[in-house]
Amino acid sequence: MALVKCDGVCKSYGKNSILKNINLEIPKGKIIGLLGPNGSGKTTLIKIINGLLETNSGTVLVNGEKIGINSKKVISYLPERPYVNFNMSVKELINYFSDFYDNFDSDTAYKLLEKLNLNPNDKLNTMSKGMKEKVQLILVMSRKADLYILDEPIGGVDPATRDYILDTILTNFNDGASVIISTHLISDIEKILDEVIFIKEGSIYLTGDADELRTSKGMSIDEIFREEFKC
Amino acid sequence: MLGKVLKYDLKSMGKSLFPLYAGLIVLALVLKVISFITDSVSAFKFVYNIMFIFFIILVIGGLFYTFLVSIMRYYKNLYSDEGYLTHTLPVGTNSLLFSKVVSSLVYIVLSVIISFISIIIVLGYNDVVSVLKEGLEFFSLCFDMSVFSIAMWAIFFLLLSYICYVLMVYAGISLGNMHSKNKIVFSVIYTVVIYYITQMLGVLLIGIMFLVNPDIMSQLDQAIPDKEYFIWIMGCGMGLNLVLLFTCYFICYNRLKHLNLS
Repeated sequence: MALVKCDGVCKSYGKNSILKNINLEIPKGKIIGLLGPNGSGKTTLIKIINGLLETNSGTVLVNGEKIGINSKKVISYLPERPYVNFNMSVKELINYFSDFYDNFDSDTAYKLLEKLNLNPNDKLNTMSKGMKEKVQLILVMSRKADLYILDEPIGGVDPATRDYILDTILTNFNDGASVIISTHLISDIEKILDEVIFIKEGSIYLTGDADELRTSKGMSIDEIFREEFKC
Repeated sequence: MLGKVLKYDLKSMGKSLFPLYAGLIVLALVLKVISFITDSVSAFKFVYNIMFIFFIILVIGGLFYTFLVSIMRYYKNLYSDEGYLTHTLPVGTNSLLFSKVVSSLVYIVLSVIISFISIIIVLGYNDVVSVLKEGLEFFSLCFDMSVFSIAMWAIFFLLLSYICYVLMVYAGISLGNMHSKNKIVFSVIYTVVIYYITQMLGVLLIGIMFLVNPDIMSQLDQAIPDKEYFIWIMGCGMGLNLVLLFTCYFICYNRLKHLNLS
């Protein structure tokens, strides 16, 4: 059984069609790149899988069940925007995650914070933008989830922070879990991807195993992307 | 999960409201000290008067601020960026919504209690309690009910009315967030529309009451209507409030169930 199954998913805002008949299966134990230019529908699809948006038609199943409390228990989601209460300290946020998610591992979170020399008593509103993003990533990756969905985790950060983020993702995701990384900065994440999903103007344009695509096209994923989405 | 959601709602609202409570008590104590000095140094009378006016503003403003904090908590926690976390918690919609209602009730009760204590500090226990007692005894005699019953009914009616207003704004925010742009403007518009619909229903209710019993109109003009009519009027008022409460709750619940967080 696929971890996530999208069947005929459509989403529009008024006359503006954002997702058009998306049929998709996310397998277990893979790192998947959800790739597409800005405005292609990546974030909309992610928000639907997380229950933040309602579809106009079609169904989304997670572990065979509709989106709901059970799917939220197994999905660990990092949105593209800051989403925690900045008036809370890191320690309070760890307690918050620990209270609500049975699969949250506080020890992992504290260990990751220690590596950053970060004081858990510091409030987020006293931190830099980059540091806030790192804290949010630590919270998301400290869950033993079945699926991690990371929306633009490396967008707008310096190369050193990108390396830190990718390393944190790779060394902390649960064994047997899948990771969906949405980005348009493909060259930075290409090396860690098992599979890719290209999304263009709200439709699945290309999908497949990353290595097989490289071999068949004789190009890197980044080059395929540049070729396919040439303006 | 309701307990956990409630814990964080109470904590978050407390961060905004506890400084107000502390300020009210401190100001009341300062006023009390100044009132002692005023007895011997008349020059302090002016300072006392100015501070007393500020105290009254703080008491009234504090209650309005409590209402505002409830509304802000609802909007920020469910419909702003923070909603991305709230709505990905493994928590049912009813728990999220019910917790907001309960926490706003808890804090209005607490705000009233703190205001009451601060007024007692400034004016003295005997003065405040005797005024309150006199009022309750008067109504008790008018309506042939015990003081305790009158007090309980008054508290119930005030809390019911308060929570109706809170839910009215919650519903306005929920409907306003159906739009992709100008959400706050639409939230205000929907709240005003719901308010006017309620007022119209109230007028309609009075009309129906008049048709059922024409004598009731003369009772509405009286400061203290007869017991029989009083129960009628209060009963209808409560009925209308309950209808409003459940309608607004349903609107909020329905919008959260069909979430479109943009």
